[in-house]
Amino acid sequence: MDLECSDEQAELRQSAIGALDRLAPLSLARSFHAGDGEATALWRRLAELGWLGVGLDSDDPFGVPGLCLLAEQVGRRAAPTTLVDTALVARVAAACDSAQLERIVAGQPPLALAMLEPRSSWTSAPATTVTRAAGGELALSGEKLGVHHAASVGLLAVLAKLDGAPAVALVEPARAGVSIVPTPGIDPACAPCRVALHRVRVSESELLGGPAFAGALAYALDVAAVASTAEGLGAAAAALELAVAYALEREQYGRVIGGFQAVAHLLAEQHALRETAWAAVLYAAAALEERTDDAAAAAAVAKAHGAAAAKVVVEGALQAFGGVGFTREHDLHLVYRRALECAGRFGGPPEHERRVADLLLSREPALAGT
Amino acid sequence: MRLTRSDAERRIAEEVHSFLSAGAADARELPEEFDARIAWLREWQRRLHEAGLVNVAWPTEHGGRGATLGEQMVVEQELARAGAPELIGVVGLGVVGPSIVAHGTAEQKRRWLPKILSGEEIWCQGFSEPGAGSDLAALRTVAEDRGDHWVLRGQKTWTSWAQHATWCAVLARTDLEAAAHKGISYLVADMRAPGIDVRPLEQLTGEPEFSEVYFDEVAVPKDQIIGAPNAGWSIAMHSLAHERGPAVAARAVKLRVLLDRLIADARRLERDGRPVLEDAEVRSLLARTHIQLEVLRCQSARTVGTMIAKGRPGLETSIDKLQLTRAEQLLGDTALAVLGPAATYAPGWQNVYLYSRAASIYGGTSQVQKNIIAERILGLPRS
Repeated sequence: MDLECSDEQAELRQSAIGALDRLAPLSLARSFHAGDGEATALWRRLAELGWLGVGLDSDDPFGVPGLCLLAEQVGRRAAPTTLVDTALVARVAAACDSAQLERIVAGQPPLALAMLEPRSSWTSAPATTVTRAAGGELALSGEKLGVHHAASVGLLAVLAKLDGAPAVALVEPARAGVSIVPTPGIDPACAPCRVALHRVRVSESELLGGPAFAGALAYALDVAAVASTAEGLGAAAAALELAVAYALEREQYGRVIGGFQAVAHLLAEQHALRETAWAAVLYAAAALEERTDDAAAAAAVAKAHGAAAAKVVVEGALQAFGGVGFTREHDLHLVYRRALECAGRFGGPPEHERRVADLLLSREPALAGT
Repeated sequence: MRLTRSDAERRIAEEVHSFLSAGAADARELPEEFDARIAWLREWQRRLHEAGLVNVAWPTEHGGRGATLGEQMVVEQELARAGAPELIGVVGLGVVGPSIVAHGTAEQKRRWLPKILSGEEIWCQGFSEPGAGSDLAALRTVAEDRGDHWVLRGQKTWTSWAQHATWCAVLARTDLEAAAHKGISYLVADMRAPGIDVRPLEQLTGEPEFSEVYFDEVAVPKDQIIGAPNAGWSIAMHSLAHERGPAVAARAVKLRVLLDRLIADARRLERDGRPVLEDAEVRSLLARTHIQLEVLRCQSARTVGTMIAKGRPGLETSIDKLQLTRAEQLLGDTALAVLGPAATYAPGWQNVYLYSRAASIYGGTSQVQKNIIAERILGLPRS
């Protein structure tokens, strides 16, 4: 087993660092906290760079690990994007052979994922429904929660029930019957919204569904779970770096606080935790890319451990800062909040731990690779 | 990134399988009684070496195959998965041997490496002392230069396998004037030499795996030094990095086998007329243990990958060691919690739990690992 990045993957990471340093400094995330965030220029540029299609084709040299490397850099800057959401929808569209794939990957228009519902989990069957009227007309009704950037994208990918099976409907936010209300969120840079859909008209060509859909969605959810873990761990890495720099500069009792073992060990624990979680992400991403037997279990392991680890790491970083970390003036809270948002997205540690238990304790577990 | 095995790795895995299916013993045949078990383990390593399956990554001229470290990991994984016991020569194979390969003279390699592989000679590690545990550089064992030999005086402790060892890698002070880390040499003492007294200690698990070793005017010939005089500290660090790095990867597989066994035992267990495995808390504990073991496997694979790329283990082995500790101690806790009386009032699992408490102590305590990470990876000042 080899978890080292290939030369292409390492280059992708470097170019992502360069691009985001220019396009998405932390001040961009901060502008969303102030309520005047605007990221369409960033989205256009990332789409031009081909980020929305990374790892999608089987001959792509980056694969799912490549997507995770991009997501990590997004997380480090708490950048306002729908990168991982789009990756999920693109994978479903590709598996369903949809003509919509091209514009999704081109980011024209940028897309938001409307999946979670007020009374459901990420893996529940949707209550939102597409109904068929007598004339064959399709209408979409339901309510969605936690839809990132719904108020500024050009397309909503809505998970809904169609003829008793799950499907995704692609509708513009401006269409009649769609109402979008921004909600408070733990990470304002994600601009979460509540989306109400009341008899929104949908055409057949705007639906992703069919026999391949359920399997494709399960796989795409695993990819998204691992990529959002990578994003959260990117945020955690940034928080930890801020904390280490602070511990080297802040003096108390006449010496820098990083010289006190209580602080040093706190930071060392967080570093170890982040590194182990990152190793699990790399493994799960590679397993999903190669579609190994243990890929789903590896994704659940990476999410359960990685989401919990990211939360512990940012909390440890805050503790090292003391009162300064508890202010909105300092940048720490920007990445702190991103780690928390990512921890719960696509299911948090309890859900994924339950998945692990079910896979582990079934009679013939397909869990540990070689 | 590559998760599937290379052709060479697949071939060597096949070789292990055919060796095992040709009637090789497994750990379930291990005798209960300690000395009988040691004899059994020596024979096991001899046969494994005869089949060419011990430390295959060692150079061919010293009895290895010059295979990749990846292939060596595959052999260890396959053996562990089949329930094979840990090799009795583990200190020579995994801790001291790699330092002889890296720093020994041609003559030393010829003299010692082949017998480390065959298990004919077992090694022990004379590092810790009663007054020098975590603060290893405070060691007080002295080797006095008598021209054509050294004379060793002092006491070592926690010396695993000492009573069965032929050789002991001893850290001793050869320059009393030099600063703590600078005056230490890496000597090799013959355990059969006059003046050595081995007093086995009973471990928490009830077994005399480690001992106190007393050196009373023990003569050590001048050619029994690894590296230069007074340059022993960096070689000792090399040995310890191996104890934390590749050795962790092998241990991870052992723990995997134990978790599978724990689940099998739990599957047969009922409490209050209900299968234990239906209990939500039990399921959660087992899932968490599995998660930590998988994370350990991934972390360790990453470290071994870096080691293959750079040719030596790096500082990240301290992270492996912390994760090993976390996973192993969680497994021990889970075994007691899930099996309950079936663990407390029976042999077996209680020792798995008890032994897990050593994980945060041997090879550098968790606190020492955190010091290494803080100071040498994060760049924080020495505390």
